[in-house]
Amino acid sequence: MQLITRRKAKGERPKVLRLTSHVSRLAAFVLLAPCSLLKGDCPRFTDGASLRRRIGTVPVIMLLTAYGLVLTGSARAEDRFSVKYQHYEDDKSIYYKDAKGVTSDRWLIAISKAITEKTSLALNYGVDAISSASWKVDGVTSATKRAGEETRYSGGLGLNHTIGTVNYSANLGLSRENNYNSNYLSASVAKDYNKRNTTVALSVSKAWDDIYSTKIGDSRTFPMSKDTSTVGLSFTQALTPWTIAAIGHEYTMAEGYQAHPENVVCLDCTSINRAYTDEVHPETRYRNASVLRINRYLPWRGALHADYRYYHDSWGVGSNTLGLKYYQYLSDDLVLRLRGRFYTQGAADFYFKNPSATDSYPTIDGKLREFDSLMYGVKLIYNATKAAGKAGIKVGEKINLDLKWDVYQQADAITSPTKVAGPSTGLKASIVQVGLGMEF
Amino acid sequence: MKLWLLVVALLSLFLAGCASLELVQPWERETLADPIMQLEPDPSEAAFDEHILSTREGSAGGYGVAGGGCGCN
Repeated sequence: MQLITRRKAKGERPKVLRLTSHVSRLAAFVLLAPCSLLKGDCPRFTDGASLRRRIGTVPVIMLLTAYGLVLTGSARAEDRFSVKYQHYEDDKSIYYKDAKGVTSDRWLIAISKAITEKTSLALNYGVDAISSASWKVDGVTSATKRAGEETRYSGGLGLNHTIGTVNYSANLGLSRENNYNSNYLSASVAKDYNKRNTTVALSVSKAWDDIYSTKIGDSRTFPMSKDTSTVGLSFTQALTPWTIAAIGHEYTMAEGYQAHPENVVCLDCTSINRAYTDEVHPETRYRNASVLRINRYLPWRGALHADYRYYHDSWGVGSNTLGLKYYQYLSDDLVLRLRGRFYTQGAADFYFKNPSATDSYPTIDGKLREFDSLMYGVKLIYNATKAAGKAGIKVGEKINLDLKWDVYQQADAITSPTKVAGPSTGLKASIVQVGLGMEF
Repeated sequence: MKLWLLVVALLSLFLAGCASLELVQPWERETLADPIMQLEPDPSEAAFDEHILSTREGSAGGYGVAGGGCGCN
């Protein structure tokens, strides 16, 4: 992508800036948003698209709102603005044995603005560009090929209101991509007890999804639908001046089409009578997830976060997750975080390495196989408020920059002769994330 | 059924433990208010993580990260 600067004088050739990295593109979006909205003689992209056309009107308006908060000084202490960018890349498909992995570039803009003493409004907008998101399968040879790029757009609107020790929030949102549309509503209420040492929170949400098929020659009737309802209850307790803990449970009920419309399953693949069919999953799924979290402050300006999740669902998938995060102040303004996440999962009741024609639910969904995974990484969080002040930049009460790198990898367990090693083994992913947050 | 028993047992232990605790007074909350002690210090990162993991693993939920569905592969 290239960016052409404005002409400074008649006849002067504009400069062409090559935006080779995603970070430089994001920086260009943020810096040029006001100019784009004013419809001035703005820098433009070499394909002729304006900034507004390139990223859409909504995020540009959100960026302008953030600028407005800074320039007019009308912001309250609880007003926040953040931009987050993430690059994800893995090396293997979790569906097809010889297919390549997925690359995705995702960014998210979020704004929270107090509209009264007790009420705040939140907006978020995200774009997720995914390459190799689907694989089209030749029904004869089962060969796979890349389907190119897909883009997912998502947006959300939230309202938060506090009355005494009770906090109410309501959110609505949607996401759109070429083969999947989703709309959701959620609400929660949280009440403090014991001089704000205990918080009890109840949340409910409902999502309505429409699924389409991009498979060539698909004879099934689309869109198909899926409705998902979730109820959550949590207790948070300050145990000591240095320790806080939380326990919570979520119950989710999903009804409707839950397979992947593009996935093709090879039945009795090792025999001469092999055949191909569409993937089929049960139409109901009940999920239960219980989480225990403990955060402990350490005397050398550090903190240890530990969490454990027990998960089980009606498809037979059960898992245990242990998460550890260690935070350490390296200076007053710089925090280092190290993380480790350990996950082990059992296979769904209907998942088999070699599906046969007698299976009720033929699937190649690698998420349903038995495997372990490990995630580890490092993150730096820099409080840039002082540095910005010294440089004469006044953009709110607090400015945070963060940078993280995580590695995620899966390893297949070999404990059963029939439910083992899915189509891909040893998936390895790299995740890089950059963020900017401001409080006003 | 076993799951609900586990949840009830954990909850009972948690609440029983809380009942015998001394309240943390407002002037003792300095470390609890530190950004590195928040249960969810970076909600955007948590949402990104949940999105990646729920499209790579069979489990999802429990951490209170809300959001719509997707057809992400």
